[in-house]
Amino acid sequence: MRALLDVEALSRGYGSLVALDRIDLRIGEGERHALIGPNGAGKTTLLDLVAGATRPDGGRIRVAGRDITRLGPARRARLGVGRIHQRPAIWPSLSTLDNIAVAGARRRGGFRRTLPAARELLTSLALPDVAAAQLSHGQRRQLEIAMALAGRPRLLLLDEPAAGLSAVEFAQLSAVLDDLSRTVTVLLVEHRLDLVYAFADRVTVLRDGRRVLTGTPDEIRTSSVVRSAYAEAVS
Amino acid sequence: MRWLIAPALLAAVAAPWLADPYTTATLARILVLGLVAVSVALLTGVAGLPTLGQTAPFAAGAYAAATLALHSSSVGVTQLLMGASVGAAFAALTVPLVVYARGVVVLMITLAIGELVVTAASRWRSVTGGTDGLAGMPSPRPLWGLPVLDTDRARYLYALAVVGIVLCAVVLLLRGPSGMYLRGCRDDEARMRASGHPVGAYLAIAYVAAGAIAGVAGSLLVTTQQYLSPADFGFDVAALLLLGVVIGGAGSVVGAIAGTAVVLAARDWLSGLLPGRGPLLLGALFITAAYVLPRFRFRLRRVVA
Repeated sequence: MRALLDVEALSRGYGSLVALDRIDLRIGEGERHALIGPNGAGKTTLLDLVAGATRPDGGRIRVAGRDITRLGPARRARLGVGRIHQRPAIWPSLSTLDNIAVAGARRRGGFRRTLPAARELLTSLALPDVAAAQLSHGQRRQLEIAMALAGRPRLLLLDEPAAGLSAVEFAQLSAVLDDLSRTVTVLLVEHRLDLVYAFADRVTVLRDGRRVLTGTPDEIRTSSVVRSAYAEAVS
Repeated sequence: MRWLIAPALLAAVAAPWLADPYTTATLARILVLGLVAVSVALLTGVAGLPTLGQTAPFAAGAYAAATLALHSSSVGVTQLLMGASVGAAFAALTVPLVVYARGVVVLMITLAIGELVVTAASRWRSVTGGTDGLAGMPSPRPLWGLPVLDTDRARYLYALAVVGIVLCAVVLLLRGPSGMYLRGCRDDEARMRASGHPVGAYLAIAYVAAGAIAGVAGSLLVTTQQYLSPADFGFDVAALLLLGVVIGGAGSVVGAIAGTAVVLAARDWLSGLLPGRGPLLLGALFITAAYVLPRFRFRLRRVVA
């Protein structure tokens, strides 16, 4: 499988703290890849580096063979790197529909051209068309996923999408993720391991900024190395 | 609040027939500063760049239009275009100083730009007349072939028409995608970037457009006041404009004009009724705006909803 995301010796530190230490990661086109690990393992840092929100200290990031290491987040987004944040990032003063249309405008040739697709996403996620400020946490999460999808991403970075969701909202999120087209490659950071094992084709375990293991969900579930590195969360 | 627009517009058109020439000239000045406040609201409320420096392109546009009026053209539309171009060019020159900063830093930088322009206006005597000011600009005719605006009433109506046209254009633009992109930058800049939007370019365009609007207002100041001095562009004017925008609702360009009218009314009329207590009244207005208005507006919105 051709690699859509190719991360090579990626490093990032904050002062004396090494958040990521020469990480290598290859994700194939259409693959659903999950990153797990204890808090502080470097999962969100890796997502930030791929999205361009943070600059690496060393290493290289390629998307579809193109080196994007030096590009800013907006350029990366225009190349098809979409993301949702740990805390839902939306525009509260705009309506739900306008949030989706504005988010997709740059990849779909303008705001007005994006409106039909935005309406479809709004309907498929059963979101009300109200001022986004009025949405609940779960609805904001759904909205941000719709915003990311409106940009027709080739690579979708999901940072803890299940955090803070109710049971009903979690079921809705699982359905949305299941319905994702295989044309979208996904890199998922998540603490809910039931979601990770159900969704991901492969899983990478990080600890203290280093890669412990990459394997299928079954391999990860039964790995003694993972158990010792990530004991409480996996058991 | 939309029901207020028609009566307010009617009152604005009828005002010069109901008021004396002094009041008409004061109303014209309110319109001019209201237009600068529109540019302040565009940056502060819509794009999220709080500014104390819109007096700078206002001054640049005013002196450029005055120079044109004194030496070349007495046609209003060419003076307006000159004011807009010079205001926009001035803003374009200062873009790198402003659009990469955020919050209070923007306030400080724009304040510095405004103060530097006032200092330059005070010292560059050959162009600005220095602190003595610049006078003797002839009344323009709005367009070629139209009569000269030789009364306070005519100049007021001309200012009203220009402010109305610019305001309509700004409101229409902000209702479309451009307004949403700017509000997106204000609400969550990182999300805008993560969606592929060039935030810096959007803010630069907004800043240059605000400079053009302030430049148009500068040209109108020449027409309505026929005298310019550095005092017209000082820090107190910048602070009054920001206060007017806060009172009018920072995100509303129409409210910016109404807010500026309230502030100038407090300064020019109420202080006349209470001589020597103008600064006290303005201070009270500042405190009221800071502490009471957010709650008042919240309640009003609930009542209207």
